[in-house]
This record gives sequence, C-alpha cells and structure tokens, in this order.
Amino acid sequence: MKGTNILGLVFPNINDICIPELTSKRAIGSIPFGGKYRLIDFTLSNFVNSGIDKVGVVAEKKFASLMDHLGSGKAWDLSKRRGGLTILSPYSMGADSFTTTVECMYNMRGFVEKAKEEYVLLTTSNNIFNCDYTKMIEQHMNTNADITLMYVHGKISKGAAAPLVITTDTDNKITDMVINPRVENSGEVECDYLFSSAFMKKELFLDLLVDCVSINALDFRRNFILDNYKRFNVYGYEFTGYYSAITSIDTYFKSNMSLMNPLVRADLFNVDRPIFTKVRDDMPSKYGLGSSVKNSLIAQGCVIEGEVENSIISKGVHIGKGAKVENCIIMQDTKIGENAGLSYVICDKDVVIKNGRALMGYDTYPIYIAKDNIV
Amino acid sequence: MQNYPKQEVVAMLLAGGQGSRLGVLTQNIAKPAVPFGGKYRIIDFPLSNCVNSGIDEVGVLTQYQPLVLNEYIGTGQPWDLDGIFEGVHCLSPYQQINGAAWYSGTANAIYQNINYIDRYRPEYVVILSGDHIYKMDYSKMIAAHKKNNADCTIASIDVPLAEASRFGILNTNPDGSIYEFDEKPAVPKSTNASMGIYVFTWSKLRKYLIEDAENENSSNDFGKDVLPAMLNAGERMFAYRFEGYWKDVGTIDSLWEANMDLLDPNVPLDLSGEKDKIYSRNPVMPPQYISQTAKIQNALVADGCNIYGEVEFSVLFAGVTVGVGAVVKDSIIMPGAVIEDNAVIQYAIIGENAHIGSGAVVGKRPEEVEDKEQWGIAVVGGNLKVGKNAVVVPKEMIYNDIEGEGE
Repeated sequence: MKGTNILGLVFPNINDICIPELTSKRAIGSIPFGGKYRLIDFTLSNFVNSGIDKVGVVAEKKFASLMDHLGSGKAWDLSKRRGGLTILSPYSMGADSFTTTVECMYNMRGFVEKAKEEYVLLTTSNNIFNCDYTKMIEQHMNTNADITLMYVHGKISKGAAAPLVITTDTDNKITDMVINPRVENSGEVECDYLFSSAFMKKELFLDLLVDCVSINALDFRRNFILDNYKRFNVYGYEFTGYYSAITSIDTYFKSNMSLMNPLVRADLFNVDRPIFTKVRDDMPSKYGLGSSVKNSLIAQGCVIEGEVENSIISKGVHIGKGAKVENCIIMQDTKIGENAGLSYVICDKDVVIKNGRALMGYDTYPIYIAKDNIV
Repeated sequence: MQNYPKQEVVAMLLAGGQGSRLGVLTQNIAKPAVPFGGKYRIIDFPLSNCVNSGIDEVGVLTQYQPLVLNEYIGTGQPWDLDGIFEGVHCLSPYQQINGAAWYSGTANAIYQNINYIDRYRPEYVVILSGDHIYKMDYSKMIAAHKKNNADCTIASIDVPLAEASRFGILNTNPDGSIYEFDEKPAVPKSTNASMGIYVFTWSKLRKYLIEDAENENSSNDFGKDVLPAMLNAGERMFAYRFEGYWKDVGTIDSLWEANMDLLDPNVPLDLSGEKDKIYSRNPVMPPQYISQTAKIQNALVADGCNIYGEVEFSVLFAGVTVGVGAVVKDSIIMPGAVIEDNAVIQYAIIGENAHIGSGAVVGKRPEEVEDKEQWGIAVVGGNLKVGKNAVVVPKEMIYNDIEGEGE
C-alpha cells in the first residue's frame, strides 16, 4: 500500500565535508556508488519501499549533479500528480545559500507547513542500507514517542562528523546522549549511535525549528537533537540490517568493496525492496576474448578486454587489452587504456588513463583521480 | 472533439503474429516480445528506430498473446513515446457496429485502423514488422520516397544468390522502380530481397486497403494482395536499398545467430554508445557480479547476473545465475534463468525463469554429434524445470518439466 501520512525529507548535503574529494563538485547524496547507484538512491528507495511517496529533497549547495540524477523522480516512482518528488533549492524561497542545516530547514518550512501529511521523516543521504521504515514507525506509535531516532550498534564509522552516541533503556527510550565522546581508541569501541533518520510529528518539527532559530541555535545535532532529547519522549529504533555510513574516502572504498560479499548484496538488494536508480540505456556489458574478471561487480555498458579483479566497474567503462585493474573503483565512462595497470585507485567519472600508465595506491590510502582528468 | 496535431508520418508496427516457428518461446508471448540481445525485446529495435528517425506516432497492432507486449510497451515512456498528443498506441482487434473480427491479414490489420491513422492526417505511412533486428533511419527512406514521387517504397537488402529463393525478390528497372515481385522464386532474377518495410503515400494506401477489403478472394496480406494490386494498376513503386545489418529472427536458428552476431566484432550492428541508441525497459537490479571462481570470455551480460561458473560465447539476460562449475557456451540464457552447479549448457536457448538442475546437460557441440541431421539448437521453455542430471539432446524443444535423478 502506498500513500502514508508521512512526508519524507532528505538532506543531501549533510556530511559533504566528510569526503572533500568526491564532493568538490557534487552533494554527498549524488556520489556514485556500487557501479550504478548514487548514495541518495538508497534513502529514496527506502522511502518508496515503505510507502512514503511524498518527498522533499532539501538541496543546500552544489546540487547540479543531484538535480540531473533525480530529474522528475520517475526512476523512483516519485513523479506523481499527488505527492512525488520536490527539489527544494535555497533560492526558491527567496533567501541565498545557508551555512547550517537548521537554517536550511527553516527556510523551506513553508513546504512542510503546506504538506497534508501529519508526520515527517528526516534523513541524511550518505548511508548505504535497505530499510523498511514501517517497523520504525510502528515502534514510534506503540511507544507514544514524540521523536524516534534511528540508531545502529557498532564501531563508529571513521571520519564521522560529530556522531551522537546514545544509551537506551529496555524500552528503547533514550536516557543519555553525548556528541563525539572522548574515548580511548574510539574507532575500536562498539556503541549505539544515531544513524540516518529521525521521525516525529510535523507540528513538533516546525515548533522545534522555530525555537532553534529564535535563539540562534543553529546546529542540528547539538541544538535540535541534543538540547531537546530530555525535554521530550525520545526513543531510539535500532536498525539491525547491513549498513554502512559513508564518512570518509576510506569508508567509501571499503563500503563499495563490501558489495563483493553475497550476504551484503542479498540484504542490500533485497528483491522485495529493490534499490531504484536513474537508468541509462546502456547495452549489456561485453567481455572480450582474452578478458579475465574475478570477484568484481560490473555495471552495464562496459567493454572489458583486460583483467579485472576485486573491483567495482561502473556503467560505460572501457578496459583495454592487457590492462590490469585490481582493487579499484572505476566510475562511469572512464577509459582505461591498453596495458595500463591500476591498483587501489578510485577513478571518478570520465577519466582517461592512457595506454601503459601505472598507478598504485594502498589498501588504507586509495589514490583518487578527479572527474574528467587525463592520466 | 480533440484536434490531433497533424503528423507527416505515422508508423504502423505489425506485432500480432504468433511466430509459431519459435515454438515454446512464443507459447505465451507474441514474437515481438521475445527477449533479445541480453536486455532487449525484439520490438525495441523497430520502436527505437522510429524515435531515432523522428517518427513520433507509432501504432502497434497486437493480436496474439498481447499481455506481455502491452505491459512492456506501457505508456511508451522508455522510448520517449509518451507525448501529450502523440506516442505509441497498442491497437488490438475490436468489436464494431456490424460485428467483431480478428485481423485476418497484415493489410486487414491496417484497414481496421484507418480511423486511427486518419486522426493524424499523415502524408505517409510506414509499415514495419516486429520480428527484425536492425538499425535503420526511416527518414532517409521517406526522403527517397518523396524524391521518387513514389506511391510505395519497399526497403530491400542484397542477399547471397544461394539464399535469394527464401525471400520475396524485387526486380527493378535501372531507376529503382519495381516491375515485378517474385515471391520465393526457384530461379531468382536478382538478389534484391524485400525486408518487409514499406513506405506508402497514405491517400493511395487508404484507397487500396478499402478495395482489398471489398475483394472477397483476397487474403488481406500486403505481400500477396495489396502490393501486387498496386503494381498491376501501374502505381509508382520503388525499391530502397538498405546497407547494414538486418536479420529476420523468425526461427530458432536465426534468433540464436542474431544473438551471437552481437559477440562478433565484424558484424556491423553496434549497440554501444549514444548514436541511434536502442532503448528498452531496464531491469531494477544491481550490477552483475563475477565471482572468484568464474571464467568469462566473449560474452554479453546484463545487470543482476551472478556468475560463478564458466561462460563463453554466450548472451546472458538480466538476473541470470550460473553456478559453480557450470558451463555455458554458445548459448542464450533469458532473464531470471538459473543454471545450477555443474550443469552444462551448449548451443542452447534457455527460456525466462527456467531452472536447470545441477549436473544437467542441455545441448551439444556440433562436432560431438555424428549425424548432423540430428544436431540443432536445444530450447528449454520459460518457467520450466530441468531436473538434476537430466539430459536435453540437441535440437530438442522442451515444453514440460523434466524430472531429475532422485526427484
């Protein structure tokens, strides 16, 4: 059943700062992932698969690539007479660009006020997961919570900006919350920390927003969430499926590589809750005579004539004869010349690696080559 | 009354035939809906050609098993044929004031939709078939039609003399005008074969369709009735020579060959790149995964496949699984089919969502068969199950599940 009482709001620029390389000309939500996706695809597909079909994408800056990707929203079934996808750009509300998420939210409050939906679901867009929100919403209703925040249990993702670590009681009510705690070996300790989504009544969201702005408390994590968790009934909802927060070039690399694990793919690309994305009419991928491919994920429209191992090869990539590509992420339409050798390299879109070039990064430090460059 | 904007050209795509020579592959779907080339269906080719030729109004004539075809075409959005005033329309036979009638022939299908064509007040009508694989710019053919001031232009292709007697041959004067049709001649006078693609001046065609419908002895077919009638009446009919790849995929052998042609770099049919793109509906599936145990060469593979075995000289559609130790060679595996561990598929076509059990053997290489008469492409129908260690011999066509060992 579609058509819930929920307005989905995505913030594709939150956490841009975590991956400066990949976000120099795009929002974090439109970073290519897994050969054919953009990060925002996971959030939008989760919405749609949970029946949330009115969605606002709150673009703060650098959203040309994002708008190109989203188009009318058709690819997610979000091109609709009623509801559907709306891109809320900063300029559309009469103000210039913003420096904080709270200002950004405040600026588009008119859109939220006008929406007939009773609830809002706020999400970031840098997370890879496949989630059925109906369970979170069910818990919210059953606990009579004012706000329900999604959390995961695990090690905090490297490079995460200001993670919020929580303690919950047996009913999942949040009893303690700290931001970016000082812990010995913080990357090694497992804890419960907030992840991706917040759910609450629209009225409450708007009230809190006005409160924040009225006292110039403009930090979403510190002011909107942390300052309020004791004032209201705030619950946590634990997401237990596969997840990955993209918070650094390192986590980006590892998260892509985790797709080689069949269990991860089965969880993430659940056939009952497919991940939608904008399609290009690429032909199927062509494997030439003498090509060799091992443990790799290959999108459509590729021509592979060389060797590929442990790599993600995106749509329209060409890998020349005798070329060797290992442990790489090659983004769309990049051309790898004959006899070139690449190891631990992230090639952005439309890169050209000329014949015979050799590039080598390292497991913990993959080399990044920016869009449109020629090596 | 809605005023439809005038279209200079309307294309009519004949997609109602059963395609009985494809046997089990067209048991539940019309021939134009048969999967082709790893992600397409046959109808993607004429539809995309229309769009790439600037034709915005396409009528698709459906009759036999139209469910999958209708669903596939949908609103026409993948081909940009979902305009406000024009686009693609599926035209099935319908009940009229004086009774209901099936389309009795290709010409009759167009005749019954004269009212549809008239809405757009076209100058020209292009008649296309839904069972050919080719890329063609119809606008060039239409330009030749105009230049010749023709009433009918028929696309033709040069075929080898030895094969000419399988085709309808067009015998032409030096200026390209046709003086004779020779349907499957024993002794062909030329190698100029008709491709079954026609451009008509609508006012002329309209007249001949009405006359043909009134003729009780007519079989209401373009090739047999309408074209000869026009030639006999002295209308201006021209051949338009097409250079490029074209293949009729009406038989198992030709369907298999046309798929294999996509793997041959010397075949002039390029589906890559932006130019004259062939559009289709795209599967909502993750990229293909090629595992550590896989061996893959000279193959065309679509999204959603999981390859753990060996794949060579084959075309794999979306969502196909090839298990560990399984071998797929010189074969076509249609969407969603599962080839379990250690199964061997050679010179075969495996239908949509079919399930081949572990250790099963389907088809054989021609060199392994002594009597060449016994050899051919093996075909397993869609949604069927071939059990563990079961054997499907070459040239066999499977219509029912085959039980496996100990099942």
